[in-house]
Amino acid sequence: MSTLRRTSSLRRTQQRMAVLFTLPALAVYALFVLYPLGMSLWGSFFVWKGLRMVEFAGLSNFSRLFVFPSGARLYGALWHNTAWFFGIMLFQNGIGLLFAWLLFLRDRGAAFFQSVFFFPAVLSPVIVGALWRLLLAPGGVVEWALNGLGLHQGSLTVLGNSHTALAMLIAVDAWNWMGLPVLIYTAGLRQISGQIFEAAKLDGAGNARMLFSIALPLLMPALGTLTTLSFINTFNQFDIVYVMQGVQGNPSYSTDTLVTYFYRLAFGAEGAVGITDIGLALALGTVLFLILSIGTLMMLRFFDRRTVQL
Amino acid sequence: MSMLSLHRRAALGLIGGLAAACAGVFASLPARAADSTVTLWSWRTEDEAAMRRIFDAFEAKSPGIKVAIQFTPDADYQNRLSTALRGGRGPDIAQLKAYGELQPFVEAGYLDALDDSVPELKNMEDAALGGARGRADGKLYGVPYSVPMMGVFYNQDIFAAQGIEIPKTYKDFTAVCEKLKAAGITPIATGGANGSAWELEIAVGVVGPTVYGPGFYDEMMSGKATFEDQRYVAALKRFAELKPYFPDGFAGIDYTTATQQFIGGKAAMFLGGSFENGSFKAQNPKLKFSIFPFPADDAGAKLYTSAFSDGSYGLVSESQNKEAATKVLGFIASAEFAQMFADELGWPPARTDVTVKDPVLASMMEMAKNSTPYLTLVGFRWQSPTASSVLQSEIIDMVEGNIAPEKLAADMQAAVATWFKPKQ
Repeated sequence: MSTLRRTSSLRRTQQRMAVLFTLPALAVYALFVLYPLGMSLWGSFFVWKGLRMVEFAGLSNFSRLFVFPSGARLYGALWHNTAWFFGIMLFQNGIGLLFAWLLFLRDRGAAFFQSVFFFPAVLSPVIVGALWRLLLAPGGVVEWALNGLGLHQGSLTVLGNSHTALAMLIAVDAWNWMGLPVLIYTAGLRQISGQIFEAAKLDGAGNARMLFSIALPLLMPALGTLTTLSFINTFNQFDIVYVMQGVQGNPSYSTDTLVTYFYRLAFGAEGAVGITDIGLALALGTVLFLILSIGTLMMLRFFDRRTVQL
Repeated sequence: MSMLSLHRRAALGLIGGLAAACAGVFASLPARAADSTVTLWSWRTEDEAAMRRIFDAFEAKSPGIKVAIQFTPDADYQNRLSTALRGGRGPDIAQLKAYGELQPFVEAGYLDALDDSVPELKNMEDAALGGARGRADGKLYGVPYSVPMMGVFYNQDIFAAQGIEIPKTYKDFTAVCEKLKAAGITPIATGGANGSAWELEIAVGVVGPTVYGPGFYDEMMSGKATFEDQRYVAALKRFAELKPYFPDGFAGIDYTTATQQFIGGKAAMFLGGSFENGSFKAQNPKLKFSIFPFPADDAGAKLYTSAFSDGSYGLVSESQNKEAATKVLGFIASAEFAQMFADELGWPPARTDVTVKDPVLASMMEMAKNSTPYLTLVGFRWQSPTASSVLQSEIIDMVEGNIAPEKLAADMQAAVATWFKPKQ
């Protein structure tokens, strides 16, 4: 009886100690994550003048968000983020998988190519954006190369064209982070037991069949991680647009994203159009928070169910 | 997509959502050592040396008052000022943007009205004062310093070498452009890619008044006309018509590149605002240039240009040092300041009682006599969405022919109609 009591009191002390040890982390988390999050949710229910909350507005910021003129910007940005996400899935994670598979099949020099692919990820998106802005400008290197190869004539204005600008930014973003899926997929492929591939080869499976029927299902955790990360990143897309097209997402809002729109509402746009609407910005922030949390949860569940255990 | 970037983006999001809420924390402390030191914040980092010389002259004749100027780059200035004011750590005197961008500070009660404390304001014209007026009470919340206007900067050496005179009519103007083009010189350097479309809005401000006329602003304000008016659409069309004379690859060229083409002598003309005067000179002291108003169809017509109040200096309500600060503001409102401002910076000062030495400035002040308010800024940049934000977004597509001028005008009208109430 007494031993039991002693162990239970010991356990209680241990629990108390555990709580005590997590307190500093909790305090930091509360101060820098929960408090600001709560404040911005709270602020989205107010009318703001300058930087002051003046009066309670109920849900009016939210209802304003979905109608003209804000609605057009919101749906436009939402569509651009979605297109961005699918673009990244295709051009970054898709091609990344292909590269990883090729590296896996031909082991020699894999580490070298991996670092080549990963190199742009070392650069800040701001530098990458500025770099590609120069390369893609009229009279830039890309124009010179395309004209030299006879693939294009005259000056290249892809970033000033509302039909092509978004695709260019997605491509630059994909280039920037290409190394990450290569890294993660290669690591995932190396974890799969070699016997499985050998068995498949004996059964007569080709390289493509092995990739799609064997490697891919086993790479589900890696794919899940990458998809979720890509989702969070594309819906928070800001820096590349900011550097390459400005916070208006020009031309004709064709590269506007939810966060550039948020930035304009909260801080005003470039070119001396510094009029802010913080209430609307915080409402948009809340919507973005909901999209991200619900989307992420759904994706995690989706990939969790599809993970194959061997 | 690295963790680093994730963290940074999370931080960005947090700051974004919350800068407003916990803003005061980030404000930096201005020095407030002695009572006689007046702190002044400005975004004109490029004018630092000139401003210092101007205030040195003030300090020399005002013993006991020192002016400490702090500069913050334009892009961060509004945020820094509003966070500081909210936290009660602002300067004594703040440089203020004009018109709509001034109002949040007035509405939030951060500034003192200056109508009584700075009597020199009465010597300024309404074109200068309009930008510093509180919208609700009509009081003056700042001492304006400049009334820039817009026009066609031209390279005098190129014009002389090609035997070109300043064009008198729009027809002459296009003939000049054709001649320059034939000689292998880009006629007009302009560009608004990569987030610098504000320059294209200014270019519309250069061309616009010659098409829609000086009375159009009042008609817009009273609700008699809208952006969909044929005259405004015609102004947009005229701007789009100039495309053949813009640099090759216009849609991909930004403001910096366009100014470099003009400064470097590759392009003969540049559509711009008065503030380019000092910066062109600083970047290429050898460049011989001047300015003329964009011509109208009719040779005899008075040529109108867009003018606006650039900004002002205001007294922060929470200043502990109001007496000295008011003296500094009195100096900024004086003819002496206007003279030094004109000499040092080469922009049209807020007061017209100055002796002008710089010939470019003289041409600009001559042009400013026939001015009409810069429509999109003075009239329609009070609330979001502004006419400017729509114009800046869609104008490249309009010049490129992807959007009809009528559509752009309709979009501008629809945007401002959400908040603009005409004064009958």
